[in-house]
Amino acid sequence: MPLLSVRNLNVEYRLPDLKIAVKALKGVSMDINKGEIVSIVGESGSGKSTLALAIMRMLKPPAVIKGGNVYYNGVDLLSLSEHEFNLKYKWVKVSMVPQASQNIFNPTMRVKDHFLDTARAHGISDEADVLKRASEVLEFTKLDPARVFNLYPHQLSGGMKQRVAIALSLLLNPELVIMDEPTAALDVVTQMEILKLVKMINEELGTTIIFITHDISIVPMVASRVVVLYNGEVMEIGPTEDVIIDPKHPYTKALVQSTPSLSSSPEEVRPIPGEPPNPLEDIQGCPFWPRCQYAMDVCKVEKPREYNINGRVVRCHLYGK
Amino acid sequence: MGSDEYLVELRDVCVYFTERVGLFGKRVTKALDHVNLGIRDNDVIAVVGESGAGKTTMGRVILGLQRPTSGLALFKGKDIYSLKGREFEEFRRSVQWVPQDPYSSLDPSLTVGEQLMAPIRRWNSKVNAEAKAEELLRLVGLVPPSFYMNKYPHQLSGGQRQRVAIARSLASNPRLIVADEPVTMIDSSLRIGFINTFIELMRRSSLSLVFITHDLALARVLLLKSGRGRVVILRNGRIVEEGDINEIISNPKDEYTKILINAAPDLKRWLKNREESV
Repeated sequence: MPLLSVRNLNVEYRLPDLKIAVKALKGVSMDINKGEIVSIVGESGSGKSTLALAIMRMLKPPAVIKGGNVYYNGVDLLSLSEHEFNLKYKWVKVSMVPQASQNIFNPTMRVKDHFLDTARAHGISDEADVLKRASEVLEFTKLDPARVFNLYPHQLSGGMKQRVAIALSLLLNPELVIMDEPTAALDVVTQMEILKLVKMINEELGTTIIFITHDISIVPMVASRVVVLYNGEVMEIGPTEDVIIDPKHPYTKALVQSTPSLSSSPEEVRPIPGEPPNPLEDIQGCPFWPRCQYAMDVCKVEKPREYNINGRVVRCHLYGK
Repeated sequence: MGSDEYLVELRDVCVYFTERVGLFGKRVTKALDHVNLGIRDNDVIAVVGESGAGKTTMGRVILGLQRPTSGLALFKGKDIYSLKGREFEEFRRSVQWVPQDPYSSLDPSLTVGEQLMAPIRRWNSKVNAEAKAEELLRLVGLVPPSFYMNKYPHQLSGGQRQRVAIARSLASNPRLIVADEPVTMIDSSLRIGFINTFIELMRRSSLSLVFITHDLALARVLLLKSGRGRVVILRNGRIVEEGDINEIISNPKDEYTKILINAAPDLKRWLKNREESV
């Protein structure tokens, strides 16, 4: 049984002014196995953060879950009472490094107090215990607790803030950590260090990790499997190597081609044609067809179903026959 | 070589920021430390370095926004920071910038047309601002322009906003653009579109570009596509290496350049290493 199993998840943002609902997730299904790092990759607006927040039950109005299940070890997290979820799952089993963690800290609180505050929110009040555990996780993220405990957020560099945010997510020793763009806003050198840290957490602590990013070029450095999201729908799921060497879905192909490398000829590198979809417009058929060079008539009317090709999930009509 | 051959020249520029520490202490941050750089007409310079290397400070010195602590920043051989009147006007008109973040640099209360027409009128009161704005939109690939003129920034995608920001920087017919590549909020798939827009602009008109980025691979695509120019590697406010991009990538002299090369996410290299290890 997978550790986490998302089934047919639908999320809408209701915009009362416009009298419409924006569909942010449309029937997303994916499995996360214990001990792996899975990367969720997609452009902004593809639903990556909505998916993370839905799993954490942290979506706020106007977002509404319109159906689907999130099974954790067989228990549907969405059917639990809020009290039970907070007590038994949130941060205890599943925690999160939120997006833009540069800005998640309370500027008036020292690093130490962020750890105490998090523990208190989960009913743990023994300060000495919490600080001992906090020291452990900070050391693990290669920070010196004695030094950073008393610092305010503005005294930390971008890379250090990211490490503290990761340490906070590990405080209660969760089995699964969802990291939302943990390397955004970091330069390549710091990014490399954070990627190494993510791998180390996975290998040494055995933590399962969902790694969300818009940048497919960093995916092979951390993840063994990748889920490609586009406009709230899964386009492709598969082992990282297979997906990058031989992308099956035209969108994945375009994503790989838009990534420059230090040796590619400039002609090889191409932007994805067209513009990202407007979330207010409902696209008939496959959401990628307006930008797809392989688009056929069927793509414009009918949503492709899921095809299984050598252990890969691909939703594209090209594989229909 | 006479310095007047350069459009903009930095001569031994230092920018030091002094911070008070405690009652009597001082801490000096050397944002730029003895930097020399010459920018000619039709030049392309990619400035690469990690955060805090001094890239943006260098851009600000070139733009006349950050007075050097010592050294000279020259526009056509004259000190930018003592230009006055008509000469300063010419400098302002000639050197423009595209800021990092198109989400915060466009005025949310103005339509695309209004954002463009304001600087057009500022620089040339005789021109038909609307026609010129449409021409600029066409230049950056936002066609048909009439479709975009009445849109507000929030109605545009990130890539479209970037192109509006570029179009706006062209309103004064500049000779040099300093573009600070966005590191946040912008999808990696849009970065190539961003530099393609510049390549297209430079193909059509005489324009120099200083492109600030932390991504060597992106700098490389820009330089190879434009068929000229050089890369400048900045570290701790110093230029540690400068020259042909392929030469520097294949044969880096500085330790820091090697670190940058190794840290660059690179699908191709990853594939190659993988094949070798199999």
